[in-house]
Amino acid sequence: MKLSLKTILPVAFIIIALFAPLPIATQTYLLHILILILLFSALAQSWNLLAGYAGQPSLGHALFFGMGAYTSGLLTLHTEYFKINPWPSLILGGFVGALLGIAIGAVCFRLRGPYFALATLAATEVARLIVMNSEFTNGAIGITIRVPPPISTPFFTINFTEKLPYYYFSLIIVIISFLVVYILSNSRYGLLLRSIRDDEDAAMTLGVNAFKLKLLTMFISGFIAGVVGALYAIYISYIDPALDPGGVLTLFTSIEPVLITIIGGAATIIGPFIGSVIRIGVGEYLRVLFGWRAGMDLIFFGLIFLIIFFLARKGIWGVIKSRIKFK
Amino acid sequence: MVLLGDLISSIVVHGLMLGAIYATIAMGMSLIFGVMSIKNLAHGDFAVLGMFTSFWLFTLYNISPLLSIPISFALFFCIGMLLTRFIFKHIIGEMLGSIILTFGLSIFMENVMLLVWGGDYRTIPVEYGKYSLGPISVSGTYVVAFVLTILLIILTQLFLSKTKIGVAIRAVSQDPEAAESLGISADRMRLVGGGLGIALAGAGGAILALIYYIYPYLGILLTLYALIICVFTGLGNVAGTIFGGIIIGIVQAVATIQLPYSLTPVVGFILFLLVLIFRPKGLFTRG
Repeated sequence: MKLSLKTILPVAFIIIALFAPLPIATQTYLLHILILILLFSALAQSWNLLAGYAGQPSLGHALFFGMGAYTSGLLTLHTEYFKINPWPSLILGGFVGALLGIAIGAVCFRLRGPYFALATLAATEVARLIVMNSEFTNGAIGITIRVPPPISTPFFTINFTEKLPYYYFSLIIVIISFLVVYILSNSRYGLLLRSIRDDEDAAMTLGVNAFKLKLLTMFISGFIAGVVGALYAIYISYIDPALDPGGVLTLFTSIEPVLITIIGGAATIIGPFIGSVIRIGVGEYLRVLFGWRAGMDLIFFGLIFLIIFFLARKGIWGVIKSRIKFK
Repeated sequence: MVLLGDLISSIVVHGLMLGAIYATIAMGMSLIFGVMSIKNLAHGDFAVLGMFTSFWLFTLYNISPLLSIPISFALFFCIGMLLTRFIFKHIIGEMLGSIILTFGLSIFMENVMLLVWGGDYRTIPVEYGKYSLGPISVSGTYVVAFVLTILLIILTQLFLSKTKIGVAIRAVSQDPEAAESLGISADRMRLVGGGLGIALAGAGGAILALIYYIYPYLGILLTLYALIICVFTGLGNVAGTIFGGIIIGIVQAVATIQLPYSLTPVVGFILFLLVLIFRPKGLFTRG
C-alpha cells in the first residue's frame, strides 16, 4: 500500500488526539478548550457538508445545535429516566436535529442563495423566541442538567465530574462526523452535491434530483449538529437560550460554524478542524487576556477575523492546498 | 369597547410611525444590496451608532436632536464611503463573503460601543408636546420623528428618481455592466450608493433615538427588522421599503395586544418566512 499524506495525516491526527489529553489531564482549563475545539469542529463540519459541498449556506445551524441541546435538557427536566442517564439523548438530539433539518429543508429549499440563508435565520429566530417564552422549556432561565452518574465497568470507572470522558466522547463524534463527510464527499453522492452547488439548474437538466439530495444532506448535517448540541449541553450542564454570545439559539451560534469553516477552508475536510483550533484557541486566549473588560476579546477577534478573511480568501487550508500538491 | 378601539388605533398609529423609521434604515440596506449585492449584517449597528451620535451631541454639546439628524446623515455618508472604498469593494457580489465579513464588523462595532459607552439603556430627554387626533393622543416626539422620517424618505426618493446621480445609481443596481457600457462609472456610483445607504442608517438611527432606548446590542434587532422589510419588498427594491416598514411596524404593534412583549418579534419572523416561501421575490413584484 502506498503511503500518502492523505492516509498519514488522519491516522497521525487520531493517534495524537488519543494521547493528547494524558499529559494535561490535570489541567482542566486546557482540556476544556480542547473539548470545545473538538465539539465546534464537528459542528462546523456539519455546516461544511451543507454549505461547502452542497452550496446551501444555512444561517440556522444554531437551530439544530440548540434543539439538540434542548433535547437533552428537556428530557432530563421532564423525565425521571433521562435525569439519571442522559446519554440516549445524544442520539435523540441527533434525530431532532435531522428532522428539523428535513422540515426546514422541505420548506426552504425552493429558495436559492441569500433567500435560503435568510429563511433559515428567520426559522432559528422563531424557535429562539418561542423557547424563551415557553414555560415547558423554562423560558429565558434555561435548563440546568445534572452531572451524569459514573459508569462502572469491570475494568475501570468513568467519572463524569472529570473532563476526560467528555474529551473522548467529543473525539468519537469528531472522528465519525469527519469520516462521514469524507466518505460522502468522495463518493458519487459528493460529486452530485458539487454539481448542485456549482449549477443547480444544469444539474437538474441532467437528471439530478436536487431536492432529494439536498434534503438528505440536510438530514445528515442536522443530525451531526443535533448530536453535538446534545453533548455540548450535557458537558456544559447548562442551557442558555439567548445569552449573547454563547446562547445555544442565537445568531451568534449560527455564525460560529460559518466563521470556523471559512477560516479553515470551506469544502475541505480538514478546514473545519483548523478553523476551530484558531477560532476557539484565539478566542479563549483573548478572553483570558482581556478578561477584565467585557467585549474586548470580541473586538480583537473581529479584527483578527477581518485580517484572516482578507489574507486567505479560500481559508487557511484552502491556501495551503493550492500551494502544495497532494497525491 | 370604545376604549379598546381607541387603544388599538393608538397602537396602530404608533406602530406605523415606528415602522416608517425602520423603513428608512431598511432603505439604506436595500440600496447597498442593490449597488453591491452585499447583505450588510452590520447595518443596524450603524443605526445604533447614529443613535449614540445624537445622544452624545445632545448630552455633551446640548445640540438639539433635530439638528443631529442632518449631522448624522453627513457623518455617516462619509463613513459609508470609506467603508465602501476599503471594505465593501472587496466583497461585491459575494453572498457568503459579505455575510461573514459584515457579521464580523457587527461583532466588532457592538463590542466597541459596549466597551466605550457601557450597556446602559439611555434616552434623549426631549419633549415636543402632545398631539391629539380625535380620540388618539400621540406624543410630540413621535409626530416629529414621523414627519422627519417621511421627509427623509421623500428626499431620498427624489434624489434617486430625479437627479442624474440617483438615476445612475439605480442603473448600476439593475445591471452594472450595461451601466458601465453607457459611460457610468459603477465604482463611483457604488461609492455614492454605499455612502447614502449607511447615511440612511445613521440618520434613521438619529431619528429613532428620539423615541427609543439607546443601547449597544440593539443593532442586531434593527438589522433583522431591516432584512425582513427588504425581503418583503424584494431585496434591492428601494422604493417599496416604506410599505414593508409600515407593515412590519403595524403588525408588531398589533401583536403586542395579544402576545407578551418579548414574543412579538415572532410574528414578524413568521410573516417573513411566509413571504420568503410564497413570494420570494417580494410582495410587490410579479413572478
